[in-house]
Amino acid sequence: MSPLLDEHNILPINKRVRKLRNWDVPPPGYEDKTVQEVKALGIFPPPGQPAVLRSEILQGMDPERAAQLVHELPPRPLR
Amino acid sequence: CSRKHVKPNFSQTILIPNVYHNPSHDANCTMTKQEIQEDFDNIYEDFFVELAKYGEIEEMHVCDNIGDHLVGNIYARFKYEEDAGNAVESLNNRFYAGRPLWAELSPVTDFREACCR
Repeated sequence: MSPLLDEHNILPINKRVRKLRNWDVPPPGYEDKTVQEVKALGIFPPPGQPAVLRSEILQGMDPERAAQLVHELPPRPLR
Repeated sequence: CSRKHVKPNFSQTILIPNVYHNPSHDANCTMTKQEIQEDFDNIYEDFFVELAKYGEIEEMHVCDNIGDHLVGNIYARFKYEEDAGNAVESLNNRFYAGRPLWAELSPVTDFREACCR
């Protein structure tokens, strides 16, 4: 049997420790909103569509910051 | 893609567009080649392990492209169509790294043949 297939040394995938903790991290400032509410704002548009800055964003957020958010890289994870 | 592609109702393959952004495409990037590779590997691991919760994955790809649309797509082919469908529904209600995810079913089954026509 191949040493790679030694079933005593296989770590189940659900036990694997990951280096990133990016799942279910909401955009900064939107921690109290659901995913659907955040999508409806238009600052994170569906792929291929330009961001639509709606009034809701302008009320709650510096528009420059909102526009910047659309273009900036996702936050780097804590290591 | 800007072309009108038919989106399937059933598929083993899911597409999550615009997830991976290669840090080296940023003009101010100071990361070494090795750090960039580690960053890529971490994202691959983070997605593979999480997506595996929805069902057995046969193949997964993270695109490192520099097109101005649909950059950094993640494709994952599940063993069962049902798992892929559940994954899309669930992923569309989750955040990743400070962004809401947009997921859909993809007609791609053979990644070597995955070309826009």
